[in-house]
Amino acid sequence: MSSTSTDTILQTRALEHAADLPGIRPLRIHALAFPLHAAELSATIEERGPFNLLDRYIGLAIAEGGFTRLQDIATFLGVSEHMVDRVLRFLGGIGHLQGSADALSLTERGLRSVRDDRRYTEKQERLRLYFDGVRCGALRTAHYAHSVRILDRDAGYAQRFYRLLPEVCGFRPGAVAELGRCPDRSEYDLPDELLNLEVLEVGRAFLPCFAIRAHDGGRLITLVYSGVSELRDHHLEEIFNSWPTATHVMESTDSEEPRDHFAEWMRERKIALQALTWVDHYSFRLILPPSRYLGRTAETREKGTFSLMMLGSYVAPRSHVLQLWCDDAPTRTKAVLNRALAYATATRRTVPDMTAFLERVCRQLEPDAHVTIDDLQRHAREAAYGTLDLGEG
Amino acid sequence: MERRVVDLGAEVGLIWSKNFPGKLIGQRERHPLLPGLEGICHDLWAAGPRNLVPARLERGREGRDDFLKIYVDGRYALMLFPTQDMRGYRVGWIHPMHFSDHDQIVRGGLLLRAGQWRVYDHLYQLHHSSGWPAIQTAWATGITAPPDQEPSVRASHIAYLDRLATLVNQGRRIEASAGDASRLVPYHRVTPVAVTRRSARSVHAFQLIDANRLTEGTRVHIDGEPDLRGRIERINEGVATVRFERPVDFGRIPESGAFAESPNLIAYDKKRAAIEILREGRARNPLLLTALVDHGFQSFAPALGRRPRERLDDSQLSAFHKALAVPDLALIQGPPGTGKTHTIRQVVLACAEEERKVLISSYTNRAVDNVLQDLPEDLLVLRVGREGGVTPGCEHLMLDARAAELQRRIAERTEPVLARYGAAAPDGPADALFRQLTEDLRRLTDAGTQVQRSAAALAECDDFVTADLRRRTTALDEEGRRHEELLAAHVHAFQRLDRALGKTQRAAELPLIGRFFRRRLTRLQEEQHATDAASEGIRRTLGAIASDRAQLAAELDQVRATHPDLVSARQAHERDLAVQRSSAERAARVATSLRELLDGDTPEISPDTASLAAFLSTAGSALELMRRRLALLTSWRGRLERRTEQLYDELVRYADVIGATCIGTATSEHLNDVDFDVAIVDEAGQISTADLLVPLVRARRAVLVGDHVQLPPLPDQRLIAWAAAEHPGDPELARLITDSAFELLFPSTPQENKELLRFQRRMPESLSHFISRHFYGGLLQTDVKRVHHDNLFAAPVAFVDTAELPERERRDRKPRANEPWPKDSRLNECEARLLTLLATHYHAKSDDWAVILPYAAQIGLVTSLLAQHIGDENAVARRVATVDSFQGGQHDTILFGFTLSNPYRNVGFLREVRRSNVAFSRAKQRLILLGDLTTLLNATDPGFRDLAQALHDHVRTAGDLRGYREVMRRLRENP
Repeated sequence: MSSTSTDTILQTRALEHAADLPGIRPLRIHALAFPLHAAELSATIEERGPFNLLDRYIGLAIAEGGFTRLQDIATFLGVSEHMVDRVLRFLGGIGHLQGSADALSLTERGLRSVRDDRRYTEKQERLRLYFDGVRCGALRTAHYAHSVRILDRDAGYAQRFYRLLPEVCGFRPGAVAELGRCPDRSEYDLPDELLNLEVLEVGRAFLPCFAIRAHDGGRLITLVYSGVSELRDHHLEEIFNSWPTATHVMESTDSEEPRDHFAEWMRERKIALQALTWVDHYSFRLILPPSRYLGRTAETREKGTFSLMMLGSYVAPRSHVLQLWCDDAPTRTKAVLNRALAYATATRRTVPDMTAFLERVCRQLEPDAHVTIDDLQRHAREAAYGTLDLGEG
Repeated sequence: MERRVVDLGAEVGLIWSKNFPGKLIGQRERHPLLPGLEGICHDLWAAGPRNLVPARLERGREGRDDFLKIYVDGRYALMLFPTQDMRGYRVGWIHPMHFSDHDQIVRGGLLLRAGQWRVYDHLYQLHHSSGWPAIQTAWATGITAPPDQEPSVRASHIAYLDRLATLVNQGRRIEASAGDASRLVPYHRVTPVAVTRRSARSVHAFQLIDANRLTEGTRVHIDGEPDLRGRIERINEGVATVRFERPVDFGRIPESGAFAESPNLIAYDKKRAAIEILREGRARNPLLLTALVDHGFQSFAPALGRRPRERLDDSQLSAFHKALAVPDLALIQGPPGTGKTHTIRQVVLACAEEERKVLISSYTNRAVDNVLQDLPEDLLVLRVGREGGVTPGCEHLMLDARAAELQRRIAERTEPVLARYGAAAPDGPADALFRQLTEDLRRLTDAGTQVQRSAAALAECDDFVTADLRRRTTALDEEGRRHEELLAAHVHAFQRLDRALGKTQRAAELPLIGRFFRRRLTRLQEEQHATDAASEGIRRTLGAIASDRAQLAAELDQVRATHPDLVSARQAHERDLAVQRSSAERAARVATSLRELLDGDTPEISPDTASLAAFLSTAGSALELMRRRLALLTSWRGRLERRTEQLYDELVRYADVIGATCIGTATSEHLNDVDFDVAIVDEAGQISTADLLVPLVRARRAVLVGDHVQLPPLPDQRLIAWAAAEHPGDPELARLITDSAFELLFPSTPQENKELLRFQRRMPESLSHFISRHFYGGLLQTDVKRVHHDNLFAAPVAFVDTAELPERERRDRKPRANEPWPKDSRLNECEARLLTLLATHYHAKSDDWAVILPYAAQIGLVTSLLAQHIGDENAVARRVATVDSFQGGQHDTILFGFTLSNPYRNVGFLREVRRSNVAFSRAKQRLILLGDLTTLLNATDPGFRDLAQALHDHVRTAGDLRGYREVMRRLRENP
């Protein structure tokens, strides 16, 4: 699957999610590349490994045996002074030992190592942290999940799907140190175990996201989706909504006439402008007859027709959102059943899964009667899928 | 594309285009947030000189001119069209900024700086330049693609590594396909065996059905069980002893089965891994590829300040200084007898002094052990390798042997320490003494209490018995004190009267008034007499009091000394004091004994309670510490009672020197993370590049020691054939197979990075002179005196020519069908006979001799003939061999038979003249050559012909050239 088709799917998922929120009607959607600073850091981390014999017993001779002189340790353990000297140097090198040759003692790490029979050593670690380009605040741990794609500078410039946004401020040199001092730094993907943070290099990066302008029944709001686990990215949304550059563009498009944007798109699909109907003061539906919704695949469909699966879903020509609709309730019921069947057969689903899904789709598609699991089972049998094997959950 | 800053000068002048106000009204209806004309003027003015204005040059559509688009305040874009006179711009269009505008700005564009942006009403008011040409130029420059990044790995390096990888992969394929799976050797019984076990690896004996089909040293696995792999250690009477590569569950070995030969692919895998390490930039020597491929070396200053532990000659010292400091790669060429091993050892010792870990490596186990075996004992030297591969002289350096030795030494050394701390164990002597002292101290405390008690009783009794006497004494004391005071008062009054008498006496002597004073004088005199008399009375009373008091005191003493109650109480008290004293002395004795058993400082002991209590407290802590140490030591010794591989990693970590073959450095897991400062590779002239890389990628720098004029690598002939067939036009590929990395590098290595050891101390000067001139450009000098004593030959280099014999007698031939030697080999009977006599001659003189021959058949023939003369075939076999067996060695007498004698003048193997260099240069006293000069001097191979000619010239002028018959006769006459 190409990255653009993946991005389109992500856009549709974001729109569907927003539309499913209570009282929310999505109006416009913008695919944006949010500016980030990618800071490459060096840090130290304590690693644990098994102790070797000489290392451990020389540590024990100091910690438990109370020896403080190299010669005494050598005599006690029956090892040559030369060897003890080597081990002491090694232990000193890994931060287990302090003091001079006549006044040796273990450091806190050395004591812990001896106590736990684990060799704790300091290792150099390299990591990359992201800071937003608006306030230079750290991104949250959720942004480092696999599901969140972050584009490095070159990848950001190479793609055209997401509009690149400019950074407002350069990288603040103290940002990492401030984050390091935060008691909740692990919330920002900086575990407490990483110490001695130093910034090695700062580069530009972008976080692909979708900014959805929506009406919540009372006012226009902006929702932001970036692929973090719960889809909606409240952290980014908060930055976005307090960023004048972004809010200005969002607000200036509020006054645009959507028909201007839809006209060409509809003309291409041989859809009369009359098909566009205001749902309320802000949003549209594209009401098409049942004949425009076909069960065929995209390759075999004529231009201007849509898959029945798309009935009720949202399209966004030139960023403006409109809902594909059909006034024929049986067609909508059929669409509910088709979508539910696809959902049920994609992977193993449970009865509660299906009940929730049917409720959501019914809410979106407003069939003539509420579609139940029994209806779905019947539909599955008619469509030659047999009886659906739904778990009890 | 970067954003370029364009300076537009002091002012950019704008005017509204004719239609702009109308267009603006339309736009503001659609976008109410857009500013009006005044707002735009204000925003432009606010941009001022401080803010850079983002801009792009837009291409005019349909033949129209290009124009400028500026983005104001991040809110809207203005389209500016340059005026014809280039003095400003007309503002033609406005739109609010959309995300696509931001996208374009981020992707690239211009940043405009102007002293001010100002809107005028009329065209003629524009006075400044628009800066349009500068904008066009900057735009044209800026949109060119950024330069390609410098590739991280250079193309030449990649090609080099690819070429090596191709060779290794092909070698691996050849090796893998060489094993014949159908060639199974069945066995019908497996039994446990008693052998030397240096590790837990399994060793078992197998009764073979056809023992002749396997040879000792063959790598085999049990058919169908490829992981049950090992090496045949020996075959004796049809029983093969197989040492497996790891411990094997005996139950898994089939009672009867078959062995299949295992192709040894490990070496290829390790070579491939080394190439990948280099390719991925993970080699510890980051400069290695540059040195190998580009022949680029970093400049450095030799460590001239370092002194070797033992003496080195000038060239050895120079090599020593270079080896210690070279940052990437150094090459030391060591011709025969120049002391390269000695030089290597000095480098090793100097590195060890600086705690720089050294890897000693070479292609063969023998070469590695040759360097390791004489390193001093104060270095921790480890030998890592396959059991059985390591030479006997270095087996004690093996990891398991070292660990076992360390364990044994620790057990020995800690024995007395354990005994000492054993005293602190529960019921140990120190513990017993401590308990005794605790008890004694308790008794001492009790005794002290008793002493106090009896002292109080004595005092009470004394009070009672002497009460009356003491009261009377007190009363007398009081009376005495009162009379003392009275006497003092009288004395005082007497003195006062005395002074008054003096004055009155002087006044009485005055005329007129003296009469009155005379009366007063009389009265005063009377008073003074009275006072004096009273004082005398008091003094007498005081005397009486004193006498009474003395009497009372004597009475008190008498009572105290004799009163029975008091005497009894005093005696009781004195008894108690004695008990206390003896308790203290006893406790002090115990404490002193205990002190001798304790570790650490303890306070001085004296027989008093406070001192002993302080000691007891310190002793308690010391005993506690000793018990902890005892437990620790017991645990330590317990851990070392059995073989423990836990020590291996530490031994490796703390070793000064580790020796392993090239492939061995990669096959031992213990060496995986070892950080070597330097890899010293000996006999590098015999190691091909792919093998050499295996140790080299593991050390930060490398010193190659070898001689590319001696034996070259022994390449796989199948690989040479493959390269010739598949890559005929790639001589570099072929050289990577046949030539050592040393040979490939040496000519292009700068003088700072290489050294030729110039002084040989083995060969007689005459021989050395020949070797130096022919092989080392005359640079090799002799630093040894050899006096020639020989009753056969007049000079150290002698040649016995067989050319005088009839051709049928002197000719070489192939072995016959009934002869046991390889059929493609050659032998020469007349040479063999003479060699046998010569060897017997020198053997009889207890001389140190060797016969070096180029062909296996000739070796076999001479060995069998010699065994008849000398007897011990094994001893003979060790002394008659090809030159490969003698590399690095030396003998007083070297007998060399060229073997080949034929009318075709074909010299076969001999054409590799470097083998002759090695063979000839083994001699310490004399080199005796035997051959047919007519064949040798007319050899078809030009290289060999030159050598033969030079040799001929040398023996004629400085050596001893003899005929075969003459030498034969002399030997028969005087065996």
